[in-house]
Amino acid sequence: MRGRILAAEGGVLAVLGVTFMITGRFVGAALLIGLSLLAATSAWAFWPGEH
Amino acid sequence: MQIPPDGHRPGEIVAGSELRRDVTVWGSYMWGYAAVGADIYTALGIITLAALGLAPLAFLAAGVVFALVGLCYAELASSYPLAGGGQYFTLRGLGDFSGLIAGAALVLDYTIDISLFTVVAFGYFNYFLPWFTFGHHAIDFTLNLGQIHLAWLWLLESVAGILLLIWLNVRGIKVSTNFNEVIGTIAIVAQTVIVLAGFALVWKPEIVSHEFLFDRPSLSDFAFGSSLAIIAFVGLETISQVAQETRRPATIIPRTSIGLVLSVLLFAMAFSVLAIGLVHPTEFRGHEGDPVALIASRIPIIGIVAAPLTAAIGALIVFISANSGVVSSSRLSYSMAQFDLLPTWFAKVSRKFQTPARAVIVFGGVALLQTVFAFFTPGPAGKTAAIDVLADLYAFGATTGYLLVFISLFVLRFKDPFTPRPYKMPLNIRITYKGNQVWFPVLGVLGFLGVLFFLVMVVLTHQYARIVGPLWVLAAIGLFAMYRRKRGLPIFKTLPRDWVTATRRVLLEAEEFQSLEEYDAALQEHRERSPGQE
Repeated sequence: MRGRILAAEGGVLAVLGVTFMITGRFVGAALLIGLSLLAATSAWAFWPGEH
Repeated sequence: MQIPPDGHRPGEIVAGSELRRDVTVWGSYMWGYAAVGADIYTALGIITLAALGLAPLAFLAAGVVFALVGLCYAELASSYPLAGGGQYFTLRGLGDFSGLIAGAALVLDYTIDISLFTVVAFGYFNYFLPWFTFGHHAIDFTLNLGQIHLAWLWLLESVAGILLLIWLNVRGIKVSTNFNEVIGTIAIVAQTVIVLAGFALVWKPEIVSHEFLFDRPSLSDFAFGSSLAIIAFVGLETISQVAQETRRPATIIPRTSIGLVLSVLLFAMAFSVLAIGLVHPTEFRGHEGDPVALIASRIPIIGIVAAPLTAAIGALIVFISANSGVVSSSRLSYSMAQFDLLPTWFAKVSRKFQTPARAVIVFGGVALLQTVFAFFTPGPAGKTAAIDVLADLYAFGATTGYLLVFISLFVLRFKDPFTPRPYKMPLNIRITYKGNQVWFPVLGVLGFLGVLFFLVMVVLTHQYARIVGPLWVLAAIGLFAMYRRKRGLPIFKTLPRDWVTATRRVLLEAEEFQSLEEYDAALQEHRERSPGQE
């Protein structure tokens, strides 16, 4: 379950990062995409996670 | 525990396991998450006040070292799945006296963990106080005794909370693990919602850039802030503390540790970046007890619901963290007593509940005393000094313990290359030592240097920890010396122990049959290569 929560969080952060990039707020985009990558890696560490 | 005349501890004593193996993978993660996940709820305010616009960097610096400590613990806890954590690894690697120092330092941190997190849990709980007291806040229930600003209601709540935790833990780990799992799951979902809503609705990256460039702390304040950030990462210790009660530890612990490192780093970075782009760092003054509720209250649309919801979840998750402090301090002292580092009185397991009830009560009692001391410490007008004092005290034990654990990692790679390591820290150099192939951990050296840096920062910048920490360790050494003398055991020498039988027994009890076969094969190969040596 935690893997799925973190994956969803990573997905939303990535979408927000892309939105910030399109609107020209590159610092925000970089931070959000960095966080989304961290969320994706966390999700990967737990996937499938349900032992 | 009867000691054989030659002082040689047989394996069944060394590997003694009266604790039940009933912690699952999710339970193991939650024990760790309970300790470190609450960090952000506790430390966000005090770290941001210290590190100002560079608060995310303070979290990142601590997080990188935390990740290396996490990998080190993943290797050691999966290889040596016994209660005791860092103390046990140090004992195996460096001997009894170093094991005692590591154990004492970590027990100190766990007792502060109980105090600090219980106080902060009620800081969040007191968010709701005006609802029940016709608009009065916790600070309104304060007695001024000279320079002591005694928040008596908050103190009473904290004392009651610690007593409740002692009762829960005397009853048994099964109750506590279930308690952790339910509340921890709710907390993860809620943290995710707050992070996403904050970034989507109100976060301004231009404020982050501005704060980063123009609101920088002094070097010593940054060092203080980052050393505060590392302290709450003792959750990894907690995972290794419950290793003896974890099913299939060789499989579960590495995965749990790595997942924990990544997910906690994610939330710590996300909340600190969100905070800097949302509120000015100085706005956390007066909100040290409920910093995440402050952030949630600034989120439009959902803020009116999110703030009280965050306060409720914060109170629960931080209270879980205090609970994991009780679990860890009792397991650690249980382990120390088993190895004659503490009087065997601490190793007595309750017949009724199968928990180390005596240790739970003693170290819960120490936490009570620390809480009272913190509330009675003089501080600035208009606020209690309790959180500042406890946070300051917290870092010494973790950094001292982690430093010894890293040294033990190196020593054990050389001294004990036979024990199967289901997980190894990445980046190793292969060398030959006494005819055995040994993998030297390069990342371990980086982790060691990182922890050493933070220990130096703690000594330089933490005014209470640099006095209380060494005094606590000296007191433990005194107790150790008296106990060893009474039993006729050497004080500075390491007692001989049958680690081979102990390792076999631990692997057998943990049902790690593949590791057991690998261990026997490695030993057999070693015996054939070097006959006459063990």
